Amino acid sequence: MSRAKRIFHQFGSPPWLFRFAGWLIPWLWLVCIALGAWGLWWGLLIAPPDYLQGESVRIMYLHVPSAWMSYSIYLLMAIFGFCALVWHVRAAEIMAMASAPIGAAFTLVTLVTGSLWGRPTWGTYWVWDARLTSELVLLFLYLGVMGLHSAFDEPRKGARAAALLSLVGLVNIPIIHYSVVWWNTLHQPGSVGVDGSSIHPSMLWPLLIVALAAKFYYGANLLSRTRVRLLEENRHRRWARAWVTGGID
Amino acid sequence: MDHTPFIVGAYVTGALVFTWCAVAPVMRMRRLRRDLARHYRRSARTEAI
Repeated sequence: MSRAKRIFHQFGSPPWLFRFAGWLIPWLWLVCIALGAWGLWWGLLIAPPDYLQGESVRIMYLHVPSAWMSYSIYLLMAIFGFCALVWHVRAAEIMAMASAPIGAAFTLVTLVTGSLWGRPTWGTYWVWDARLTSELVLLFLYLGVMGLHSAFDEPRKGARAAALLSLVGLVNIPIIHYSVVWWNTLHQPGSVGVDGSSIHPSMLWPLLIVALAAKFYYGANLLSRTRVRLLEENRHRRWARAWVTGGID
Repeated sequence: MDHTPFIVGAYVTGALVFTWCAVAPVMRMRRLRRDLARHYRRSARTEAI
């Protein structure tokens, strides 16, 4: 069996995934906290204020990484959902459903911080602008996936229906991303892309560090939620009993 | 215009949401482990009888 195939099969094994996640989670939290503290300290205390927006630009260090994560997590959730629907990988099904509340949290923070940034910058908390509205639709999609998952008596049926909804909702992701290009919106166009950035390095670096911390936050949180689900579903297995009674991690 | 309330409001919201999101699975795992340990003890006692 090839190495890649072996790793893929290991991920499908609940006891292996449970133990591996238990070992990895503290390290992910450690890196997340270290990077988050470094990035926020740099962004809030060292980076200069914007020449036009003044101090309110400091909301960017929370708003922009949250916005990036809100649709990246949706994309990952749909990929996990696809793997669950096509290859019946149980771990992928669990990870898809575990991603939804984390994605919803990032989307909520994006909307609230964007609104708080909008008031001093645009003079209003909210406008029914393409970017803001499509981001709100994303929050409803996350809530829909979570609701659909818990609406079924049989968890596997619920997870499959929710995975299908997550795939349908994928259509919203390019709309969010290109909304500022396709329509005339109040929201500014993207400042960071693959071909460079219009943000000065003194502000760009802390932004990228916080964005990296957010990825570690997602990883740690995803694995924490996955472990809970694995234990719930495998409570009658010997390894689960051994872990609960003996504390073997 | 003083921007401090908007910045503080944004970071407080972020801290609350992300802390809740991180703590929720930890609390759920603790509760589940306690319930399962009780269940296993009870079933072991029943088997012994």
